[in-house]
Amino acid sequence: MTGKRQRASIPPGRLSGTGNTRTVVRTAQSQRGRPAGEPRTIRSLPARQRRRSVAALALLVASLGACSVGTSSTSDEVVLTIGYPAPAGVGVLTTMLTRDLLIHSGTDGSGEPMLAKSWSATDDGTSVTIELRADVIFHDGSLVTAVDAKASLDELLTLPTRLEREPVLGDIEAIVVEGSHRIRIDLTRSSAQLLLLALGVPIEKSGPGGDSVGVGPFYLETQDRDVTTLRAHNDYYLGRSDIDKVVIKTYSSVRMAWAAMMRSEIDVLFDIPIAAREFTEADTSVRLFSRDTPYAYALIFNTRRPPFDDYKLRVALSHSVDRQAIIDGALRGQGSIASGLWSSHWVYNGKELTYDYDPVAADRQLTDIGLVAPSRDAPTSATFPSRLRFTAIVVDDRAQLEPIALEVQRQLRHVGVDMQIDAKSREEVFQQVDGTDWDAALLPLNTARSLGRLYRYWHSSGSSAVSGFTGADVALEALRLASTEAEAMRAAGAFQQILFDKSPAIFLTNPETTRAVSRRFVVLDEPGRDVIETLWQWHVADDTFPTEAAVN
Amino acid sequence: MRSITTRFVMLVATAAVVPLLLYGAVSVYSLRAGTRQSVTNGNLNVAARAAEQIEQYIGHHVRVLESLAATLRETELQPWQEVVILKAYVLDLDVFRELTLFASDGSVIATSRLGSPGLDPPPTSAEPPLIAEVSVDDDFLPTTTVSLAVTRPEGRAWLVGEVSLEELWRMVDRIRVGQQGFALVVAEGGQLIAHGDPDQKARIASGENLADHALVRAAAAGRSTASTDDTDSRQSDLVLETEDDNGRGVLAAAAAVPSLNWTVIVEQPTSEAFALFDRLETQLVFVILGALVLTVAFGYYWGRSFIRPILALTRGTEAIAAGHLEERVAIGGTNELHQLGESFNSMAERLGQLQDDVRRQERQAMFGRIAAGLVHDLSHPIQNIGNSCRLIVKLFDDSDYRATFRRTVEREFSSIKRVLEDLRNLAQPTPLERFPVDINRSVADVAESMHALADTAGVGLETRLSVDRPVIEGDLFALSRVYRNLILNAIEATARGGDVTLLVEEHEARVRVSIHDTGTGIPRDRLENIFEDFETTKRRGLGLGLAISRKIVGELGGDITVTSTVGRGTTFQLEFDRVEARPAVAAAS
Repeated sequence: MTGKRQRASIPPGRLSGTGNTRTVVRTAQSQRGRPAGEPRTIRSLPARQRRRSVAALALLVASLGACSVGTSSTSDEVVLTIGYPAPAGVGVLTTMLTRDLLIHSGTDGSGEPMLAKSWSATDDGTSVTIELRADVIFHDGSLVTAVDAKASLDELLTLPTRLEREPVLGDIEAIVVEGSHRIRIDLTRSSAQLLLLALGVPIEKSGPGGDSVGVGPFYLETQDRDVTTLRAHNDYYLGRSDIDKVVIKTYSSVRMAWAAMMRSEIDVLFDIPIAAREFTEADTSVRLFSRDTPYAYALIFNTRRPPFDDYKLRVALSHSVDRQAIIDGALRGQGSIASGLWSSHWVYNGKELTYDYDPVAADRQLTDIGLVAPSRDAPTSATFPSRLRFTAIVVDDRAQLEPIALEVQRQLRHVGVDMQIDAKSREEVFQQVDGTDWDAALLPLNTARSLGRLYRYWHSSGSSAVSGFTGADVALEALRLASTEAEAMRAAGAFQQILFDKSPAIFLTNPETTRAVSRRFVVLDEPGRDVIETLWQWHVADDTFPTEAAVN
Repeated sequence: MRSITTRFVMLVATAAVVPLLLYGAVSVYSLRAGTRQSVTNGNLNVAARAAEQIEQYIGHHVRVLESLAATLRETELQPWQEVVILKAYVLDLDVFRELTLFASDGSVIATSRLGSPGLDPPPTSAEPPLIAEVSVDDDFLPTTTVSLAVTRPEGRAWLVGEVSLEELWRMVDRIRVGQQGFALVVAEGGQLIAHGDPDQKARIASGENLADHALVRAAAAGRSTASTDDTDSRQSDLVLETEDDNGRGVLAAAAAVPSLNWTVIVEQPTSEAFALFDRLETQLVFVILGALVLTVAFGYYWGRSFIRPILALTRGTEAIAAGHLEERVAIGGTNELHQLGESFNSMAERLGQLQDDVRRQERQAMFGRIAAGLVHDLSHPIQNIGNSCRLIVKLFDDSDYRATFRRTVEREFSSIKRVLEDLRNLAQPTPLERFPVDINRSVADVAESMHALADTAGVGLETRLSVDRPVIEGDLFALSRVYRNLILNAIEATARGGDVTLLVEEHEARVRVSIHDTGTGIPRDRLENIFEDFETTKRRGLGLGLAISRKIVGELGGDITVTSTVGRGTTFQLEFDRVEARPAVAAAS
């Protein structure tokens, strides 16, 4: 299988320039010194990532060898079955496996070539030219051209939620086809950098039957309520997967899915509950792959109204919470302290700002703003004696949010703050936070690698900016308009500092997500990346080739 | 026929095998029984300890809940305080997933949940503490609910706690019997609620029911009859050798958790459980086999050393029998076999001496016989020559007599020479020369030469020749010697007045010469050896005549036979192949 290649990626997509000829050029070829699609050069990655990537490449080479000797014979179809616990829909999963994006966001937020082979921006940041790969074929067998890319972008722009998805898309003035595999995007403002980071757009079109077809490693074969079947895309531009067929089964509960996994009826369990990981990991037939989710649990304050319009109160409360205790208790150690940002993003330059647990400082700060600690002499009062009482609305999620909310409630009580908890359904919670009649809400924030998310949550005009926080608008605008790497980092740093100093939310934890994969398959596990993303590169384990242990 | 060695080895081997095999069988049986009992007891103990720990584990949580219930009962707490306490329990004690205090009417007094309680109040008729069936929640973990009564001023309330049995799993996971032995826990209804083998936890999630498991039934029966049954009998019921789903033999031992009506089963593959026994059994078998081989080997060695003198004696006697009287045996030691060897050697020594004596006597006898024979054979010619010499003095002028003298001397010297030739022939036979021989002529010539002797003996000598003058291939001189020997013997054996008849006759392609006498005949017992060297019926003579005659006849391709009747006479018959006479030769002869 000569076409087996690893998905290309390049170093952080920082803008750079030299005088008047300042032009950003991103090409897989120029970065790697070899044709796009071949194993990437990892020289520019951090040393640790380099080492792991070398191991990953070793596995890839091994898998190439495995193909050459017929690990997956054509007569014996290799089928991988994924257990997907309801009620989560399989849409996200099928999209991951059937759709490839124009530009892929790397683990550090940098743009990585995917369908776009290279790109460049003009000096003033108002135009971006994207060179497409010429060897990409849709699932229906047709070649991907610039017209298709333009159509996909146009389709995206027609969506009512486009600005909610990526505000920077609103800056697009025109999309021009400049060649069979080249498009130019003209912008109304100098926002090329953010645009590039927002171009994680799946390229797709309507197929012969009217169904949408993409270019991913698998295509949708059948789908009903319980079972979705994907088939390997024979003409996948990075090489056909060794896995001929992916079957996604939905189960009524995680327990049912887990039981199926234990019975070897499925090869992948999409998500393992935190409480179950210890026992699942002991199963010798499976292997767990955990990573920090892009979600952070945060207690978001309604900064529009008192008392949380006072950032000093918010900061004091941020100091009052022992996040590690939450991780150790509610998350059983499977998570990390959240900063509210994807701090691995290159724009933060490795800087991470998190609050220390300091109840003494919190007490002092609360006192300083006039919230005096209650007297301990009235234990028989009808309510908890507190210096501050507010209500936090929480989704009635017993598994994770409830223990986190209880722990936060208890910790705040230690500093004399009574957080009443109002547990509601998911819909009720989101409905309420869309308004202004609430104090605080315990919500998961998607701190995904895209900087566009920052707008969504923290720019006062963002669609998910429920807190009403306006303090970061200037910084976010600066980030949006940044046209150099330094400008982007400076703006991001400023925003990060504002988020820390003004604390519109108590950022609590980033929980880990865990996939369970049968040891029947050798899994390419790249640091920070969801193993599902590399599923097309898995192959059936063979003792004659390195196992996944060699990769890790 | 088995050799002495084989018999001896078999004897030793049998003597060793029987006790060794008996010892082995007894040892294996004892080992098997002891090991089985030991392993079974060990596994039973493991199961019992596990059951005890589980009982303590559940009991501990019940006691914690009872403590909480006491807190809620005996202190006048504000509702918010009760909630705080319940939440604190849930936060601090992982084992409690939810705690809810229900009023007697089922309404919620306080709960650790943020929203509505997930638990239901127990039936009003229930008697505390009430422990519900175990279920596996969505986190894959086993849970149960424990309900306790709380007496409050407003009436009886229920404290219901959802208890995670996660630690129970850990506890069961930690139980290992050997490398491959695991424990499993079965709830009262047969539901599998914990399995120590991580790869078998799917059975729990699948809701596997083991109510029909023999040990579960036995444990349940044991619980119900614990006070009446014999302990040993109950214990034997709690052990089972069976097969798992993979067809692998397992040794299962069970113990009941009385307060919960649960059963703990410890399963261990029999291959591992009895591995020690198998090893010991193998070692024992090898030791026994080794001992057996060594015993046989030593038996063979010692047997060989024991019978070696006997074998030496056997070889010695065989050598003696083969005439090797110089053979001796060397048997060391001082035992009876050594004495037997010495006796054998003495016997062989004595035999040698006797053989030498016999040989010496035989030589002397033969020398005497040869001397007598020479005297006998030579005295007659010499006497004839002497008589002729005496007569020649008187009859010298008689030309006929001189001629007769000459013939006589020549004939007698010829006889002497013949005797000497016989002796020389005996020592070094002269090669025969074959020429056509007129058999009539050869017989007639000899008969003529013997007439005088026959006349002297008073015996008639008659010759009947064949009419056809048959010819044979032969040596005339040698044939003449044969005729002469036979005629002479016939004359000597025939009393005066008897007859000796020479008969030449043809019989198809053969020519037969018969020498018949009317003499005394030869006894039957002598006839068999009459042609042997130095065998004679006469009192004197070398006894070489017939032996030489048979040798000559045989060399000429003829046969010589003898028939004799004692008192009536003897007939020697010579038969030769007849050949066509060549005129010149025949004429010449």
